Amino acid sequence: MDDKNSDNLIQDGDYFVRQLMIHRKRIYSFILSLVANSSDADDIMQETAVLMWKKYQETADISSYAAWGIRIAHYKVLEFRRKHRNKKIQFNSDLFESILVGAVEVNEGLDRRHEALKKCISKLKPQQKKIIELRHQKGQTVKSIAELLHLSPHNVYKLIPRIHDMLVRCIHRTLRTEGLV
Amino acid sequence: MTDHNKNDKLHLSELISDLVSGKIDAKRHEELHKILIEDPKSLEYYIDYITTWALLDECCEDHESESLQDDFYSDIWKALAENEKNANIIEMESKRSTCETLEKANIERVPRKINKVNLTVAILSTAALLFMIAYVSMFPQYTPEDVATLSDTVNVVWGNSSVNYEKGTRLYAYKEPIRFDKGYIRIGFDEGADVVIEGPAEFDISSSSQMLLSYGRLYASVPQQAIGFTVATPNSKIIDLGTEFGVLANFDDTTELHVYKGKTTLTAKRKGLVQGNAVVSEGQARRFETTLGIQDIPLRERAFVRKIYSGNNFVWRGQRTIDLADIVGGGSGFGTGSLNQGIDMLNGASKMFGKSAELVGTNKYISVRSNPYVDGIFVPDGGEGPVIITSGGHVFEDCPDTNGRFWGGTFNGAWHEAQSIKIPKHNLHLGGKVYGTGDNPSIYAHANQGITFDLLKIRNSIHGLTIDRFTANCGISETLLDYSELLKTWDYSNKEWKSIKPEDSWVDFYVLVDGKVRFSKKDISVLNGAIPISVAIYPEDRFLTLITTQGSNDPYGITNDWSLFAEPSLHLNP
Repeated sequence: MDDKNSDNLIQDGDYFVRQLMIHRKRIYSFILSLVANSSDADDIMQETAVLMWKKYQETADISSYAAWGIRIAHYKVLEFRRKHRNKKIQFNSDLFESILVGAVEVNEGLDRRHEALKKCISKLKPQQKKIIELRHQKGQTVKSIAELLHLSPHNVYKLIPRIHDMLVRCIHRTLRTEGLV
Repeated sequence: MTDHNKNDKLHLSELISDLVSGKIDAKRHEELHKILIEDPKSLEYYIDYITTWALLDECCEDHESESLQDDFYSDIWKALAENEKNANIIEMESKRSTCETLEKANIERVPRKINKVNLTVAILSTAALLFMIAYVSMFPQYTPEDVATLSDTVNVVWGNSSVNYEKGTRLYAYKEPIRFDKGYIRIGFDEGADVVIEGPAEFDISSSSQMLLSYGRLYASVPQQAIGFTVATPNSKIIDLGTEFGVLANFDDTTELHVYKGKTTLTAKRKGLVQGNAVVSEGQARRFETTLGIQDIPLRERAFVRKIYSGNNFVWRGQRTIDLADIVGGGSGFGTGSLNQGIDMLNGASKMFGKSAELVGTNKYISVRSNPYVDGIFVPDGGEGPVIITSGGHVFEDCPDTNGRFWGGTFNGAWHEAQSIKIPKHNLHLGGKVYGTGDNPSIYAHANQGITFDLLKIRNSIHGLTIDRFTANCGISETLLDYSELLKTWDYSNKEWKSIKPEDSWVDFYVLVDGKVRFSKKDISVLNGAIPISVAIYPEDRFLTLITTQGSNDPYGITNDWSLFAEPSLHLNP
């Protein structure tokens, strides 16, 4: 249980933000699984953080920040889906529910996946690592990555999903090897 | 992995990559949708892929790339520097005075160490402060959103004595749970779903299309535009797919789902993990219990209150008929009336019937004020022309000539007694059934009697339900045969009792709507048994009249005319 009243805390706000930073990847991963768009997931993550802060001030005790944050994120995702029902292409309710079920299951073991991902990234070739870094950490577009690495945009466009696929399979192998799948 | 599978995976990963990047078009989105719906393995892969993408986006501080750490800390240092501009002088002064104090106290100075934990915490604190300031200034303060309305309540007792929600109160998402110990409430969600909850119950509103039922019973009616409406219980989640359904959440953490129209999905959970899924369709019901899982159970038609209306405390559990005998007994038509209660044919007053005798009618139409759904009563006698049978002035043109007498009155029940000829009080029979009970209602209408029901007022009481038919069985009680040896009639000419056979007693039965005959059977004897009545009722019909007259078997008059309308029902079309 996260202890809100730990002696190491300076202020409620500091503690809240620290917890948010610790659990952000679980909440963000959950949101992205459901909305499947980075830009929308970023927006929803921000809205979720604001609502979490607001609710944090009203809530006496939170047993699990991740679970609590995910609950609020779920609410925000549903709100998003409703608001954009006629504006954006969305998965239907059946598929959404199936994804939700799967996302919750995967989220439970996210830390192990994260560890496995780090190992898998270290096994990538330098250029593949660079593409991942530019795409995900620097937020570069396909075109700008292509310019930086002197590749054609078409090649970069094709390479990104391949690298992702390699990482997904590597993570699975790693988790299997460690008896975690 | 074969080349084919590998190619499929790569194609799938390209589709997903385009989706997440916002680059997918409608056609490819549909293709992806189809793949994910049809292939569970692809769905698993999709979730793995997206999760990996999310981890790649989020893991900047854990990533081994030095450049990433540099970026992160440079942002923090910038924030710290910004803070230093505003806070430095005061802090320096504090530190100086502290140092001076320390010097004066001659405390041994220790070499100044930079405590990494404290530094990190300080950095994070500053960053945290700026982070929150940034969020608060960039995004509007969150205000709770009102997402539903408390549309109606009937006899509700709120769980918290300081709470008194009134009709029309707006309800907010993510506020405190709402609890009530008794009664019924109706909530209209902004997305369109309508929910009736029966107490005792406790629930939370999650959004304009989602709620949590901690315990209690609810009935949800979800129109097309609100498909996706979700009810969660402590151990399950029900998602509507265009339907009407009832949910019962018990204190022992079991959940029941009954689907009356359309279909829903039921996801059963234990400790937050999914235990099972089911699609539950119209006419089906499921129960979920943590130890036993999801089980099939029989659908219960009357388990949930579906409609309420506070104007007349109307509470409807999905019954498909209105019992007119119950109405005669002072009830709503849904079982709230009293047995043996009826209407005095001489003055229209409400009356409990315990004894009966032969009486003479007033030959007038008497308005009934004691019963909201009965327009009036009369003793039919067409000897002097058409008989008025409604307050609207409708007449029964071909009303037969009668002696203007009747036995007892019109009441909710079916018993007869004739002390003068030693016939004991007993329940009447028709078609082999015993009537005048809760299970077998009837209107006892010994000839000559007529009663008119106000269909408009009945319709107004059932809020949105329509009536499309009247049915009943009519006839003379078969107990006439049981007492055949006791049957006598008074011979007025010779002033003596004469024996009479059961089959010599005849009755005419009529059903009229707005003065027009829609059913008639004349000279019915006990030997005819139960005669079915089925009369269509249209939206424009106002008055329904049931009449019994003495038959053409002179000189017996109303003798032994033990006539009844058994199971008189108005049929509803929800």
